[in-house]
Amino acid sequence: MGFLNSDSTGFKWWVTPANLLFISLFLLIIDYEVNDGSFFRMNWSYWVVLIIWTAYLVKLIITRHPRTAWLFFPSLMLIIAVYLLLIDYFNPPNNGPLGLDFAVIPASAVFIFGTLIPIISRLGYKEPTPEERFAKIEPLVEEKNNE
Amino acid sequence: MSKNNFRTTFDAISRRDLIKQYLKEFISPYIATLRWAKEFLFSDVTIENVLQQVETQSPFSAIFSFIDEMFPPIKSEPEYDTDEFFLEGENDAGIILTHGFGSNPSEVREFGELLNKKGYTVHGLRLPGHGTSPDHFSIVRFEDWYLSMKNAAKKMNKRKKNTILIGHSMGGTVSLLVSAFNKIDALVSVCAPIELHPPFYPLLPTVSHFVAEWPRTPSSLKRIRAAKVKSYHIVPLNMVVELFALMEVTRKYLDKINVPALVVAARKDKVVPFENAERIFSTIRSEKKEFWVAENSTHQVFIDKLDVSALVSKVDSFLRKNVF
Repeated sequence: MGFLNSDSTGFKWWVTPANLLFISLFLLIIDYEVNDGSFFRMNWSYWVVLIIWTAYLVKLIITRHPRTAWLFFPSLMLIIAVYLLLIDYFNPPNNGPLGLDFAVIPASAVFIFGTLIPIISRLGYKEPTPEERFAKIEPLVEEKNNE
Repeated sequence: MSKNNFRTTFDAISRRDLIKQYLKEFISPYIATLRWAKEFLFSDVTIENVLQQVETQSPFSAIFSFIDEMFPPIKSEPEYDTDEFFLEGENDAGIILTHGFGSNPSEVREFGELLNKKGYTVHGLRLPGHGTSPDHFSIVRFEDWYLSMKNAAKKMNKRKKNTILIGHSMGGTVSLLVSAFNKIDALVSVCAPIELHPPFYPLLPTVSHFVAEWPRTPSSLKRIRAAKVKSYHIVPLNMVVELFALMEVTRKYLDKINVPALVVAARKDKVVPFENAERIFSTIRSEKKEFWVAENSTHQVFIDKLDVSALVSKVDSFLRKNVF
């Protein structure tokens, strides 16, 4: 029973996604109803599944790819904007352009201010050059440059 | 002498600081937006103050505590046998001996012991991020390497009359930079890179955002492990970017170096081209300078061990001639 001891050295990388996949499937199955009239034929489970996988994604980014973390919130905002559009599209009266009603303004606000502008600002942010970075930690740089 | 008295590395990053660093990375597009808005509107609000306010507000500090519990710390404690070493010698010269990129002091220990037998005090310095974990390696910057060696040199200056820097590969590049700005009595750079041109380098800063690490070739790993040196099996790509930043700064201040210098190159080095050593030798202003070639070695001079005893003799004679 060595695997029950506290001196375990951890798990292979596929254990967590596989376990989460089956937990998610279980939640979706117990919530599934054939004719309840809701869009996904589910009431609550997809929210739990979404939260579980988002938390896993955040942990994955932090532990494996911290340098890609900056894409997380802009991506989330994009998903929210699309989600708002979908909700609007599948709910009547659909009298506006492209069959949309209320979601045009909030979705475009979320997309522009939550996704586009932050990504443009982040990509266009001028990082200090190596020499500028070095000048911050070495007070003699100016003196040497004037020699 | 206890271990802690000579420890100079900057590895003591708290878990709280790391989490803050990560969270700042998460919200960096919005910080960039605020910076842009600030520039655009000429506002007096500083982003640092806003962030500090956010960190100290109680609901946020509770979130930080929760995250502290959720995520394990990055391993920043050194392995026992890769830790830095300090060998006391009887003469007046103290040597700071530094390993290369992705390596650790165990690589240069044997060389250090041979120098110690000649009477030198030898401090095998472990540069920040090395000998710990690749995750930890990927968050340090070249300034940490510089400050670490600068501090070690300061401490050695207090203990010994003469302070000498010996660095292999990237350690040699850091030694060059430190000797341009600090009170150093002599310098030995072994296969130090100052300009490399790997293919696709211009794309590397962008690629490193999405591809965090690159595996080392099996042949180089096999050779390193055969020499019983523990080394990382992967290379964090953003650290390669840091190495290039270090080389850029070092190139700029190369002509400010005027301490006695021994420049060593390896004849079979395929990692750092021979021209690097020649350029270092011709650019530094030192009046007392010598060039020496390890005829039988590749870039891993201290792992190949083919020229180590000859190098010890050369370093010893160079120091006795130019420093004592």
